[in-house]
Amino acid sequence: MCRMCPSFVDCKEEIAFCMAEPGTSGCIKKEQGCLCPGCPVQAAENFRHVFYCTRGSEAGQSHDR
Amino acid sequence: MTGKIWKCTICGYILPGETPPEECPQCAGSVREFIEVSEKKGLRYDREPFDVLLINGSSHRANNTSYLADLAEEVLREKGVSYRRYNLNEYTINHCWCCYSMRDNACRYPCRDQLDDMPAFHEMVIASKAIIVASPINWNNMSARLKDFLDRLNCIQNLYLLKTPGLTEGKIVGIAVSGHEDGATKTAMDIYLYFQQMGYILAPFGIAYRTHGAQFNTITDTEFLKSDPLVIQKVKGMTNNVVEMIRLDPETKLKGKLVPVCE
Repeated sequence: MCRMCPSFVDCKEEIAFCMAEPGTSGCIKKEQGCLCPGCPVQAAENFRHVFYCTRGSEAGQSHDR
Repeated sequence: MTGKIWKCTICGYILPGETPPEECPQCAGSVREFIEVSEKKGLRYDREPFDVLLINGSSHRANNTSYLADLAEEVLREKGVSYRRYNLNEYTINHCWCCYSMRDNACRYPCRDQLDDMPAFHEMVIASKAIIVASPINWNNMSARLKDFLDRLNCIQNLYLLKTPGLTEGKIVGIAVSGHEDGATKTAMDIYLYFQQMGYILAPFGIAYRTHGAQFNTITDTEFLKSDPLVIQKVKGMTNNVVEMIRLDPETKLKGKLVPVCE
């Protein structure tokens, strides 16, 4: 899903920003939409956040609370 | 020219000037409906906990329904309850995409529409202990703007259908309705049904409404509402009851004990 997202910028980095640590992309800086809520990973893992590429992984955003 | 730009929050009319006009030339909204335009930033929830989310669902940010919200605010302040008030016409809320009508599990929290201000409202609905919703009566129903807001809560309600943990059961709801016409109880119950489906508890005497007949027109109805002691008594009473229910903390006490029954 990441590669289909309007916010995605391809700079050859690993995707699945929701799972990785810290999760934020090195090149995606502008939020132009988010496909995370429709991603199978989101549903399978019961994740509750969005914009992982710019705001950080699920664990990171949960920890912010 | 001062460089100030004013925007009518009802219809979007924009004009420059030192002060906003007394009446919007496009939609007749009063001077109270204008805000100074600044760079538009999407609503974000700062994740600071608070107790009550107060929603003015009117197309007008500062008219009769707003007065009901003002009264609720007075009680919340007097009782030392933390709250946040939002006038929906100052925010962008898209129509629900109704993803659930494509397949059941296509609608879940977080909402797929991350393009407007609703995701922040979702977070605040989940974070708060209670919600107070104020609405005008428009054609025997709530405002279309409020209906968009409530429709967009679908991603929270749908969690129950997906057999995943709910996020709102045991929270409290209070409702205030103001109108020029019949339909107050219908409007209130239409609003309540959304929350019932999400496991909210209607506060005792949790619906406050006031309507007036055709003897008042749109020029004089504001004066009527503001001089009517029943309006104050009812809205403040409803708000008091919401606060007392919060203090019983049913959300914590009922956690994991309720069986979701919803459609």
